[in-house]
Amino acid sequence: MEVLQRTYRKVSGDLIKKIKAEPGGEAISRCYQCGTCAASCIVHTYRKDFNPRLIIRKAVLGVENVLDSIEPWYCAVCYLCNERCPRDVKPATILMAIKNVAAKEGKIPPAFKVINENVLEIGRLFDIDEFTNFLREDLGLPAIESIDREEINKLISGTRFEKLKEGGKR
Amino acid sequence: MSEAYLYFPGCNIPYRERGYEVSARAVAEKLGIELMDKPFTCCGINVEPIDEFASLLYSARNIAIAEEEGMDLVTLCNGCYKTLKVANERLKNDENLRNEVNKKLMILGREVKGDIEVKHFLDIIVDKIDDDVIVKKVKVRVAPHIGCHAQRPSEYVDFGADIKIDRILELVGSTSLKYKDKDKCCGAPLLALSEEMGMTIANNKLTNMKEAGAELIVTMCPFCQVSLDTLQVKIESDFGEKYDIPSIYITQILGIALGIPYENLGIEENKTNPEKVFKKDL
Repeated sequence: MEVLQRTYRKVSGDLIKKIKAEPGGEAISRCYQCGTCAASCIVHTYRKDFNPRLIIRKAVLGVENVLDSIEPWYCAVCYLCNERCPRDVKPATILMAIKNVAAKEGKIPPAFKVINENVLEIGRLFDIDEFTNFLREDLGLPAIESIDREEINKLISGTRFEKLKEGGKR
Repeated sequence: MSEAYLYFPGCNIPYRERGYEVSARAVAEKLGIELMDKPFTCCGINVEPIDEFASLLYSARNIAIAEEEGMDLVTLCNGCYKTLKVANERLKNDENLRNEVNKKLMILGREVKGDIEVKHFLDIIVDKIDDDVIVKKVKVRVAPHIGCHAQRPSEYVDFGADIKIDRILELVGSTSLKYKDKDKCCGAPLLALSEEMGMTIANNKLTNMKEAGAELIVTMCPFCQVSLDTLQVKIESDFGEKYDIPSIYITQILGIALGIPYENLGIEENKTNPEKVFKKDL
């Protein structure tokens, strides 16, 4: 438990409150640091800095601002830890809550902005243009219709997601 | 009356994994399942880490369209399946949440009432297949990769995908192999953030499949197929490995067994070429 042996400065007292306000966030207080999540995690196997147990510990103690860290974004959201957690903390869901709190503060890794550029504008990850529809027709597949952009705008108007259009800051 | 569903294509399949769609539509036709099309958005999965509520709005709009048609939604992609299934169950069971979402949908003239189901394509075909419809046996050693979101989170997503894929492979005449870390991630969700990390995880999976003696990989999700098929050659060169294990969709191997012509199953859309595996049978 290296985190307990080091000296950390408390940096973020209200982080835990913010996490608990997100869906599934309350469960963070049940964590007793057994490490089943890290032991189950395929990402942790290859990236030791990605450690769900340690991220949760730092968030609970408020000893390091996990919102400034890239690590929560390394979760593949495979949910294996959620299945195995003996305290039903649902670590992947906690990490999703942490990412949402970070996003509220405008802290979104560029890759996550890029993949959402099209989702914001046209409603989908990839633009199915005339060329793609031509390839589809060639395979006997029906054309994919584009979605009314005005409907997408209305759907997300007033949400935090919509703010990404202005560079991700509130 | 034939069975009909609204087909939810998602983002990946219509754009870059069209072979899955071609084979699924051919299999559906063969089994008497009608698939209808509507203009759907992203399921919402990409939005989730940034804005959980906005993600739910994307899901809800898609669900509302299915409700307008009075039809269940069927997906080929595990990611879409998980996202829409979880959203649908949450909206059905949480009236406050449903009201909050409907306030937004109302502006679009739409509403979620909670009266349709979200299903994975594998789940709707498995009971329609028996020895009578199988016309060709494909005797290969298959490493099936089910993918995370057809199995987890199990409180929402649990239709026995592993048993069902094995059932289909058995009927097809193939041997389903067990291999290390079979239930673990393919690496694809990490490709956008770190291609190296995504491919490291995919490489681990390919190694485990090879060690189990796989001649063929069978997938049921476009993201998994990108990891194991599209990137296989790049993984081989970057990691200095040799796999040469073609990866195809469950609907493609099933299509062959159902007697659908090989060239009508979109197999040439895949990046790995499974011809050598099928040559002995075709």
